[in-house]
Amino acid sequence: MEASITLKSIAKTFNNNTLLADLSFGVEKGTTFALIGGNGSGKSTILKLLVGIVEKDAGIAYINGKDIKNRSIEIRSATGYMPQNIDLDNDLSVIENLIISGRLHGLDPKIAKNNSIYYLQALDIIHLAKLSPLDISYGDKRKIMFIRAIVHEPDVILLDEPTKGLDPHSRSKVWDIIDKFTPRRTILFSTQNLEEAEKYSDRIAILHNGNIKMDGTLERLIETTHGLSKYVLSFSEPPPEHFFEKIKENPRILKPSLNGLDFEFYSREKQQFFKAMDIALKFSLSDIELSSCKLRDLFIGLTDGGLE
Amino acid sequence: MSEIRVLLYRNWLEFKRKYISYILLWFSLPMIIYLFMVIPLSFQISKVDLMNYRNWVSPGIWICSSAILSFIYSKIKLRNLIYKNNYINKYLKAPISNGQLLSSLLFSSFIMGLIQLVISIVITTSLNNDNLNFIQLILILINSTSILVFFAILGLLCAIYAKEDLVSIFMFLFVLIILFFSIGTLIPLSNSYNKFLVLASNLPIYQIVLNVQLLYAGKIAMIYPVVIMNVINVIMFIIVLIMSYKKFRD
Repeated sequence: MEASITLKSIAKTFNNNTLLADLSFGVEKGTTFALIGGNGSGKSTILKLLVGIVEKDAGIAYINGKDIKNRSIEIRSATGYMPQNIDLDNDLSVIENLIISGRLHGLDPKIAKNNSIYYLQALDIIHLAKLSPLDISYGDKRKIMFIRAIVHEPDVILLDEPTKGLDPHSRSKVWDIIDKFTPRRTILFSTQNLEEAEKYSDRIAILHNGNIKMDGTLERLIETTHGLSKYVLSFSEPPPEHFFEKIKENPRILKPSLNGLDFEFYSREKQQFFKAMDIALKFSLSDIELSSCKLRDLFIGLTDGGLE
Repeated sequence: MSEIRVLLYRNWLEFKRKYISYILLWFSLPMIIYLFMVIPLSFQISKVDLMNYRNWVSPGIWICSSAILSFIYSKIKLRNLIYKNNYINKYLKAPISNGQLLSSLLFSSFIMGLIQLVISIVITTSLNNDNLNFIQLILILINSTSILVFFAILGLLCAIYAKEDLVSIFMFLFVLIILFFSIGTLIPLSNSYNKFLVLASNLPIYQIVLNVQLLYAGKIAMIYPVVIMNVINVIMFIIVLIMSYKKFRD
């Protein structure tokens, strides 16, 4: 399949901090790609770099086969970007913000206006059209910024935490619009919401310290755990210290931790769970929970020293 | 070119929202200079080159008020873009170049200054019962525009470097002092210390001020200061453009 976005050996440092280090990945045309990672992992930097707000120190990046270094009008017209911070023009009304953005991206004034009205209606905020961004709520501002990124219906849509600050109803409306764009357009979004990444993306990349720890489809990522399961033993009273000591002695029990009265651990063998149960039954065990590894477990494991 | 048109349309939309403030500013600025600078100075300087000081100073008021407005407008607009809420990013991601962005700001500042110039001319000529013929007016506008462009570019230059409010205010005061007292606008330099006069009289900006004063007095002006000033403007704009590439993107 043809790549819509390609990054090769990208590096970026700022004030002696490494933001991106030898980063390489590609996004296929017409797919939705999620970037997940902790704070400062480099998600936003990747998106800023692709739209030319940040300059890379090394490496090559292409959008639709064209080097972004040239920042050609063609590339920028074909790209829509929603930043994380609010940067709406407070001197203009909401609809003027959208029309100006659409026109700057090459839309005819009439089409820019029609598209703006269409998306404002789609997100139920048409009543805000004539207001100044200063007079509207944070969530509504985020929705307007989302519309601004897509008003010119670009081929490549880059969204930095698109649903941050939105209520569940608005989130689903935003995802409905994004869904309608696929498979004709390529979408690269960053998020801290792992459920959204699982649900709406074709591929996911887990970023940590400016590099991709792992990427692939959700199934492929889960496969890499090789049947690792998560176990939770809930107690009605805190178990004694020697219980943990005994559990930790077992090398096949991975990442044991206590969260309140819940004791969590990972293992590939059910037998290890039975062994742990055997010990736990001597104390005030109240509940058990077994589940296969999810994206959240993989993410925590990868960004916190690994599950192994 | 169409991108510059869109950016200018954006500035027009903003103007439409605030037009009353701008009209107030256009009318009050020359009057403030007249009341708080010219009238006190007229008690000290009664005649300049056999001309009544309050008449002689009219071109100075036109140039000062319009140059101040061009300078402030371009400085505030670009400073807000660079340092306020990542405003600049929304333009950097759009398919427009730094040159187009700066040109649109420069053009808007120039237009604001030009309107100020015309209003200042109308106000002072009516206060002094002066008459300017059409040719005089056109030649005065041609001479003054190069100064307006110069101060608009100076505003862009200051905006790029004045991240701190204090630095920005200091720059504005510095420009104000130069404009009022060092280029022969409100105070005639003919009475000043010789070495300073020699220095100032070699500056094209001083010669343009002199040109406007000569045109106002119905005399013939020189063309070369305007040409030199426009060359300086082009060089300064190129410098601003080069600096913008270093400043706009991290």
